Amino acid sequence: MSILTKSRIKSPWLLHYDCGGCNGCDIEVLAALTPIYDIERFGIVNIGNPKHADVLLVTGPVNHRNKRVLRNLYEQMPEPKLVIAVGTCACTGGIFYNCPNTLGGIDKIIPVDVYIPGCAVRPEAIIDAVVIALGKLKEYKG
Amino acid sequence: MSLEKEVVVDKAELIPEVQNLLAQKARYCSSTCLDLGDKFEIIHHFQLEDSVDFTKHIKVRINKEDTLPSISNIYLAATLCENEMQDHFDIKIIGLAIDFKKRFLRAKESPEFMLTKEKKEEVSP
Amino acid sequence: MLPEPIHLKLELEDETVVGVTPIIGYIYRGIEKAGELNPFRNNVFLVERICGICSFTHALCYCEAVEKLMQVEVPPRARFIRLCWSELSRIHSHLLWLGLFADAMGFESLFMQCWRAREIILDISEMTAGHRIIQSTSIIGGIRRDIDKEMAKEVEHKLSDFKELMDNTVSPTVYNDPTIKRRTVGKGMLSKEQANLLGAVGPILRGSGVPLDIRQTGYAAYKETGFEPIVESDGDCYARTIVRLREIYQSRELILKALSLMPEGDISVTVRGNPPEGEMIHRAEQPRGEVVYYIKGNGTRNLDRLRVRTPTFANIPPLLTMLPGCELADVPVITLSIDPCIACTER
Repeated sequence: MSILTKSRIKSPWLLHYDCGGCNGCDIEVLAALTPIYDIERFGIVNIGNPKHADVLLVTGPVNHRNKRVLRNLYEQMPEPKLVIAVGTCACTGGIFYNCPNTLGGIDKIIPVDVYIPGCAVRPEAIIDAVVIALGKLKEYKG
Repeated sequence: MSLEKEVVVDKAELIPEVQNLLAQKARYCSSTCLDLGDKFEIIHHFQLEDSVDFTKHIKVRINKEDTLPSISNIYLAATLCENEMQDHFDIKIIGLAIDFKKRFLRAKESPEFMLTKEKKEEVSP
Repeated sequence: MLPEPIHLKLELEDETVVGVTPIIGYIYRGIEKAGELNPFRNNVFLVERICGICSFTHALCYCEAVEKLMQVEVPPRARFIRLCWSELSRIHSHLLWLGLFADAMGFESLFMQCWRAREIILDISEMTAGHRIIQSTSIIGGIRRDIDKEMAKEVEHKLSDFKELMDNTVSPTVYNDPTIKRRTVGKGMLSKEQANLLGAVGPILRGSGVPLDIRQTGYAAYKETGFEPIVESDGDCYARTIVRLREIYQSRELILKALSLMPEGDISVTVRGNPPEGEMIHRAEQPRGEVVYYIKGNGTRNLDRLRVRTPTFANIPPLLTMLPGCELADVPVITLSIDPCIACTER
């Protein structure tokens, strides 16, 4: 394993984007950063700039206005990039399946590495998903 | 069951009625638009000062081709609700304080007028 | 660190804001249409997901509106337990807001302390309802889970832990810290007249000195527990902070009162049939303010119209009058002071 990959796994930086979820998963992503769960102790940092990020956390079913934004964020992230769909509605559309303005799942727009089902997901599940996603990074050669 | 304290007014009486409420220091709550098939029904909900209950629901019925005078120049708060109505229904509102031109919530590709009821087709036996 | 997208188009003169236009629609899903497509019983779970923070109050308001339309009498015990959950969601929402607000002015440690205290409330919610944030316990005709005596004792115990934590960390900081005061006192002024005219709701309205809280109408069990709105008269960001902080303590008292006054009995009644033809409007007080549900039934199992006016929707016009004249660096603080919930606004 190259030193670059090794350090990437030790300190992945997250970018969180809300694509139209109900806020439930979004606050659980934030809750994972705060004292009880505290993912910062694993070197995971939540940042707001796509060009700094390794992992993209997306919540919510995509709608017509933000699909362009999501695509844009994804394209700005440097390689290797990982995408995690947080929550049932980010995976498949979930309860919003018959809402007219949703597309149903972020995998219609960008490729997804890890899906977390649950409505709303628990912070433990988010941490777990990030760890699984990092396993994929090990195989990355670049 | 219909709403308590509802007042049905004509299109022309709407603005004077709302101005009257403004003079009484009523608080604007919300607006609802309904599709009755051949007509639109718009309900403006108001609440008087020093009262916790709803005080007045003003109902206006207009034909589908007709225009609706906006109350947003009297109550600025109504502008968002009226813009939302324009997004959801094929309704023409004139005199909006801030007009988003049917792009308030909708994006370009979003379905148009999603809450408008489709005309019931008569099923031939 | 606002977790939701809102787009404010600002016009600036040097560092001073002179004009603002909100551009929303990034979270627009079209729930009102889905509410017509789904059977009315399933809508409870849909409206809960309008907003994940105040989800229980959404479900409560929708259920009460349908119950009023169908003329169903809910057992008193269910009404008391509904009150408990809606107050729990108020506490956790206010703490969440206070944390984000502290973060907006760069007060990182207060953010962490607020969220630490919030976890106690989420534990109670998980213990009683089975889920941390989206309870899904309200159904048409009552509730799905009971709070038994043992559980009630545990809730009281946890709430006293919570009060201790709040008394030692969050409250003294908010009341005494000079940094918070310098960032919030006199910022984002909204007078009593403006608040009334612009249709502000919730803590913004009460922070401007208007004693209006929908809990005064006595829905759920607020009539039995009694309720007095909390009012501050200054009308600035600090007044709104204090209103919310005092409401946290008040909600805790309300839960304890409801648990002690709770009568024995059933927790739900079976509701048969469909909503009759007719319309009904019902309101409830969410953490962010008044929510208005308008439903129209047509005798079938689908509703004719489901309309939701959420609190943030009503608070955007006041925000538009607060922002002009402020400095650019204060925009995040003032925007957060209305506690924006974009998922609610756009549905």
